[in-house]
Parts: sequence; structure tokens; C-alpha cells
Amino acid sequence: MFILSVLKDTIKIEPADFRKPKQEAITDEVNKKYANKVVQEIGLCISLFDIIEASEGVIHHGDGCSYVKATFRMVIFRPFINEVLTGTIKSCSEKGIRVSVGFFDDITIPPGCLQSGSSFDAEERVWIWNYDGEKLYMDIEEQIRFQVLSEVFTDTTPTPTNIGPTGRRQSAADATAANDLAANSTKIPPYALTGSIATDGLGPISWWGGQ
Amino acid sequence: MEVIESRAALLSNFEVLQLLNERMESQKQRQKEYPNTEYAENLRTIQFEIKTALEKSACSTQDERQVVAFLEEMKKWSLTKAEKLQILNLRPQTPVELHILIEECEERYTGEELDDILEVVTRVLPRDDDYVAEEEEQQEGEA
Repeated sequence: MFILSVLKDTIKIEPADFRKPKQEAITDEVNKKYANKVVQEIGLCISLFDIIEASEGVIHHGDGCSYVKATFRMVIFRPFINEVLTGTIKSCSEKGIRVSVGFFDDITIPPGCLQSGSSFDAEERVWIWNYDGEKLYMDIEEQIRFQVLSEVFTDTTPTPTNIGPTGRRQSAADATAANDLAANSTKIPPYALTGSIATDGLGPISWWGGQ
Repeated sequence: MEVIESRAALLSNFEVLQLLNERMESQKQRQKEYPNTEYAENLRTIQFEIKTALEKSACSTQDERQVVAFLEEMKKWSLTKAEKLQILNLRPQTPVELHILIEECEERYTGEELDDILEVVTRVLPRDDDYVAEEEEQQEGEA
């Protein structure tokens, strides 16, 4: 579930933090910049693990901050493909099941990756596995075990194409309205996982006994 | 930012929980020394969320000695690193769980070997909730 990645970056230490030991200052700055953020093709950053190397601090003209080039190891959430994880069911819809592992919830199990014979109850908004004439429900908040099928990274940084039409000068109200719309319509997560429960042993934990 | 190595090592849930506990403890200490110290909100959020999630999982009762003993016992079965890691993280209790964690399980291991693996898992990584189940069984047996 978790891995270590080696990254290199220039870290800016503000004068107010000069009282801290260098290692502590770098740790705090790296955590501030990376914790709980997705880095493309790397995964969800959790926390700094250790600092491998750090250069002398350089102070630029016109700015009192000290800039340090540091190589460090980061704890990253990035399950490998086919890894089995446990989470809780967040919601069910025709498009499948949304699962959360507590700190990360962009996990979807599409209908095609449920056990064969599963059907969606539109009234109760819940998926049901019809097994041997028995109806097994996948209720919300239930613990579920699933296998990671694929991962998708999407670069969600703004690009000139999605900033909006130009030509006319936008008023402040226009700009906020457009931003609100954009925020509502383009909720593509930067890092998303697709899971599967189409094998024996996968699915709600209560189905298979054990814990 | 530059990526030197994207997958330098695998970490078990136990190691992550231990690291976070240490970090959060030292952050508290520093805040006592310098009451003005503020930690970034994103860091506090993810630390708290992961800690909560992992404390509910099997790794909450593991300690260093258990993990070392577990790896020592697992040497017998030539499992891959990823398989051992998942067995440690998920602590399977039934053969059906092992089947999804181990690749080509049926060709590589017999039913008895799988039972042996499960036995080692329960013995080396004990948990209180197991004892409850066992006691209940015993009581049922006596009754």
C-alpha cells in the first residue's frame, strides 16, 4: 500500500525558521509542500521519511530566504496493481461502487468488476450479488476487500484551454461564475484507482467469514 | 521537483503507523517548547486520517519483534516480497483470503501448506479478538 520514493527539490526556508535546526526546517517545508498532495506518476504523498542529502543554503538578492537543494525520501500511498486492500463502501450508483480507505476515496469498482450475477437495486440504491438464489447486499459503510485493477493519473493543473474564452474582458462576477461552474463540472481526481471484486474472497468482508 | 527513483522501497502498514506515531509525538514536544510552532493543515489532516485508518487495521497490534519473527517464519515458503507484505498487512484468517493474496496459489501450495501459513500468521501476529473467538469456541465445546 505504501512505498518510498526518492525526490529532489529546492526548498525555501524563510528567515523566521532560521532558529530551527536545518534538518527540522527542511522536514517542515517538505511536509508543508507535499503532504496530502498527489504528484503525477508518483502517488499521494504522505510525509517525509528521511533526508538523504542537502546542499548549503543560498540566499538570493532581494529575498531573505535560504534556498536549499535537498534529496529526500517520501512516504507515498501507491498500491501496486493487483494489490488487495480493505476499505469501506462510500456510495453505490448505476456506475458502480465508490470505496474509501479512510484517507483516500477516489476508488471506483465499476459494474463489470463485480461478481457475475450482481444487480443494482435502483430503489434502495444498493448493489446486490445474487448467489445461489440468495441476495447478498453491499451496504454503505460496510467493510469491503478489493483488488486494485488499474490506476489513472490526471494532470489537473489549469491550462490555457480551460481558463475560459478571451476577447472580451471578463468582469469579476463573470470570472467567479465561470470558476464555480468549472469547479462543479470538472471534478476529475488527480489520482484514481479502479478496483475489482470479481474473484472469490473479494467483496464485503462479512461474506467470507474471518475477521 | 525531480524524481530520482519512484519506487525505492515498499513499506508495510506497521512501519508507516510507527513513523507517524513518532512524528506526531515529536511535533507535540516541539509545540510544547515553542508554543508558536504551527504545522501545515494538510500535514495534520493526512497524519490524522492515516493514523485512524491504520489503527483499525491488523497492524495496530504489531510490534517490531513480531514482524521480524513473521519474516523469519515465512522464509520456508519462498513467497515473493509483495505476497509477504500483503499477508503482514491484511493478516488473513481463511484459506480463501490466501488464495487472492498469493499468485497461482493452487499450483504452488497444497491445502496443508496453506493451513500451515495461516497457523503461523495467527501464532506470530496474535490479536486479542482471536482469543475471544477461541474462548467462545471452547465454551461452546464445553457446553
